[in-house]
Amino acid sequence: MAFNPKQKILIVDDMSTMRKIIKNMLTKMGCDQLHEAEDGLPAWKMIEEAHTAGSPFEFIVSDWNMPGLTGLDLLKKIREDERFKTLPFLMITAEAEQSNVIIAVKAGVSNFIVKPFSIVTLKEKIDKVFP
Amino acid sequence: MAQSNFVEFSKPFIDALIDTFEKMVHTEIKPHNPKIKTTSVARGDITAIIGMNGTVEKDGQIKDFKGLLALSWPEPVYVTLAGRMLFEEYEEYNDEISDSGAEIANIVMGNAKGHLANIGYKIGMASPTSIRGAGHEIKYPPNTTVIEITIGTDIGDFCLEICYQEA
Repeated sequence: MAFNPKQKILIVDDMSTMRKIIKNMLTKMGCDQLHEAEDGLPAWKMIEEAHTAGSPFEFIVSDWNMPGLTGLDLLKKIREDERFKTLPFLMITAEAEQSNVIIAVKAGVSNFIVKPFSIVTLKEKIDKVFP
Repeated sequence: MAQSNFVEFSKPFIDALIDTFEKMVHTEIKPHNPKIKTTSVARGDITAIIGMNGTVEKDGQIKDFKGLLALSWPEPVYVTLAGRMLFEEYEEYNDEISDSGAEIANIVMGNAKGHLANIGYKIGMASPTSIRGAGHEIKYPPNTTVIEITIGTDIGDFCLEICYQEA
């Protein structure tokens, strides 16, 4: 399943600047169904509500380090739920969290990207999520 | 702090800043020579700050240290760089770019932290904060050495400060 820019995408990050950067990078890739959440908890609520409404999210791009529900906790919640077991999930991490990536892999992350990253790297990482 | 430790500790921050500006701010930067800073007054109008503490293991000895990373921009430079980062053009400072500096500091810190871990530094970092206003002061941890490095860009200079002291 190749990446379709028309997919409904949820961007999760507590920093508005990073949400806007990702949103603008994805927009440059042709994406136009972009939604934002500022933490894992509201993100989880949006994922459930969208599914219930019959318009589920098709791809999650989430920061790891957030003050409420972290990206890892959000990923675990998603993978524990039968409805979202295969929902593609790209984790954004800081260099310092790279050693934790194995934990994210075990939790079922689709791919990860280390900050700082360019739009070219983001596109490459997404293409690996949707081979 | 010994000169060798300063070079070792500060280099990952400079490398991370260059990398971050190239990939996410789309701007080439030129770090100038470091100097000891002797005032707590910020060089710019907007400063992003992250405090840190941790331990360093050298020659079988473990020492505590404390420090701080600060990035300080003149407001016009900040506004232009934030715009480049967000693929937008801004005329003036506004809420939309209020956390851009803090995010740059956060990325630089996270990146440097990973590299420093490989050479014996274990760092705990606080959340970034921003201060805005001409002539504002930066609260450095007491009894620490502060290094300032002027960073050149095509639209003007800004300042990187690294503060470090072993206990």
